[in-house]
Amino acid sequence: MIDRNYSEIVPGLLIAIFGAIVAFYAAQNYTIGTLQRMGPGMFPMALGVLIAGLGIAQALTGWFKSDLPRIDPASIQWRAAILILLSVIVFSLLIRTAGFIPAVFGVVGISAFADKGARPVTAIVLSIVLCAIAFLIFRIGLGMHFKLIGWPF
Amino acid sequence: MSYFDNLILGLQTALSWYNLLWCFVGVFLGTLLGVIPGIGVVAAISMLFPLTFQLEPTAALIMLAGIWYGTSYGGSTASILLNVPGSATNAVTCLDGYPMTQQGRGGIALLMTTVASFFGGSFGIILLMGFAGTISAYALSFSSAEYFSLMLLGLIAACNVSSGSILKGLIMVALGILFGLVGSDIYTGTRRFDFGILDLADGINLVALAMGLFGVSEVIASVGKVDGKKVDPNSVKLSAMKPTRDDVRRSWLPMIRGSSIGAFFGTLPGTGSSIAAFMAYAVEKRVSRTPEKFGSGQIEGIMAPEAANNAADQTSFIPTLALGIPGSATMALMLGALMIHGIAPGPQLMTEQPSLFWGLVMSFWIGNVLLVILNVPLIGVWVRLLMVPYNWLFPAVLMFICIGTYSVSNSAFDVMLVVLFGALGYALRVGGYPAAPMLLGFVLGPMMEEHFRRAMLLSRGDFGTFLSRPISATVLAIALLVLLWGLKPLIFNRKPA
Repeated sequence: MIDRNYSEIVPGLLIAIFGAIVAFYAAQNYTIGTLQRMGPGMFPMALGVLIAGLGIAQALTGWFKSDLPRIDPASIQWRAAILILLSVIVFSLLIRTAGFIPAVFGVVGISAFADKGARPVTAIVLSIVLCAIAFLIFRIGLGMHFKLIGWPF
Repeated sequence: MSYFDNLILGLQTALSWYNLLWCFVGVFLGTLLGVIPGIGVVAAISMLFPLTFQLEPTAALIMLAGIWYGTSYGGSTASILLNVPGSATNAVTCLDGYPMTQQGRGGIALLMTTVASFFGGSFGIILLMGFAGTISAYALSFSSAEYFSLMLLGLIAACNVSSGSILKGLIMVALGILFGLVGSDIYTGTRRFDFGILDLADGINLVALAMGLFGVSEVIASVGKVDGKKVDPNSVKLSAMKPTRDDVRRSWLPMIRGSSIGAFFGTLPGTGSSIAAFMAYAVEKRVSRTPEKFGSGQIEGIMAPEAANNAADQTSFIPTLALGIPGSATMALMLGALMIHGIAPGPQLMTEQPSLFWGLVMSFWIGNVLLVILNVPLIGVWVRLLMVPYNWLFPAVLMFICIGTYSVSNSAFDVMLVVLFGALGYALRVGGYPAAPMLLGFVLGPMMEEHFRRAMLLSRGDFGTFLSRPISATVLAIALLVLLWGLKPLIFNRKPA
């Protein structure tokens, strides 16, 4: 009895579906053209088919081979992943609206808590220090222009 | 112009104050980021990539290249003192470097790896100076069919040697090419896969993709795992660095073997410094009379890989500069930098931009000398850096990623792309998918499409053009062999559960 490896089968199938969608989307929306004069749709469509084929191949190896490594759900750093991605989102939202200083406070202040042992005081001190460093490097050193702080509305 | 005129021109370019300054900045930042575990070479280069937009193209490349080989010097420090590789190329140095630290010989290991790095680097530069010209002169006769085949070989080779199954590598390459196709089609101007988003009209920003895939995902993966409090500052005093006569005697041959292996793997598409370092270690273990002692602090075990990775760093510039075809993710970024500055990569680069080409090559000498100075007398500074807690460093890294990406074109949308690719990069890491082939596919994809379409146009839609041209056919045959070799373990060798 072969032990099916679902950490290969499920992603493989998802990739295959994705490839099929790409091929279909390219065929529907862009000109395919002929082999001699290829339209903008030919290469992406072929690529979509290729991705679909590779995805199916991966799913098949997961179906037949049991010795491939598996994903260990316990190894996923959920806390770090969510807080770090959130911190970058906050930077992206604040940089054009509230300005440079709030954006840096956002990214540093939120991401600092990705580490389980982080304390609020450390995060605040770190934000202030890094704000100063970034100001020196990017504004004074490289002469870039940012709105430092502003009212977003 | 004769060869020596070119060398002198290169030296003059590299020694101008402006280029010298940026060469120093590059190797300094490279060492800095190399020392810090959790920031690999690609992340380091993509973080500092936006800074180079303000510079002249030659200085920009000199600086980026300095970061590249600088990380290989700096990376061994964390390997030796902490048993945590500063970057992937130095992973194998941990095996014998850390035991040397435990035996109180860490200082010697640090000094000797710097020597090995310099030796390997010099070896690589000499080969680069010797062969790049010949290859690019030969490549001037290449047409689109040859270029397409060479790029295909590069991509397949890149999937094959990266860790994990070749299928995962191929999937990553294909997805990378797909991301590369986003934006305006070069022939018709049709906007592809932009979903009406204006920010995507010019394609996905290379910096955003690289920062997300390598920077953000690496930070997520290393939070809470890197701890730098156990370093003994006394191990890096200059007096503790003096090698014994026996150490020196045993280092010569491993350095020479390591450099040769590294130089070879550096030129191959898709391989590069990490593979070179592992191969050099494996060879050293095989030729040794006492292979069982490896892993217990043998000096041969650090000299060969450190010479190999630096030699590979330098020779990997041969295909990138002579053909315009990058063999690794880092070289793809170098090529991206060239293109952003409006310089077309390819064999004509050497003749059309001699001061850029030779200036860059000669700057490697200067950079390597600077690195020896940075790494021997100033090693104490880097070691103190290792003692800075990682939970102070990673918010700083994220801040630089954010500001760096934003500064490329003052686009908050690009920062959102970093989030997207950061999430994707971490998911791929968890699933065991290599990210480097994706970046390589991203940069090579549009070029491949262009050459493919041009080749098909010239041949009137006949696929035979790729096979009737001898060079293209040979390259395709090699690519097929590499592919079959990579698929072999998946098809045969099926083990029962």
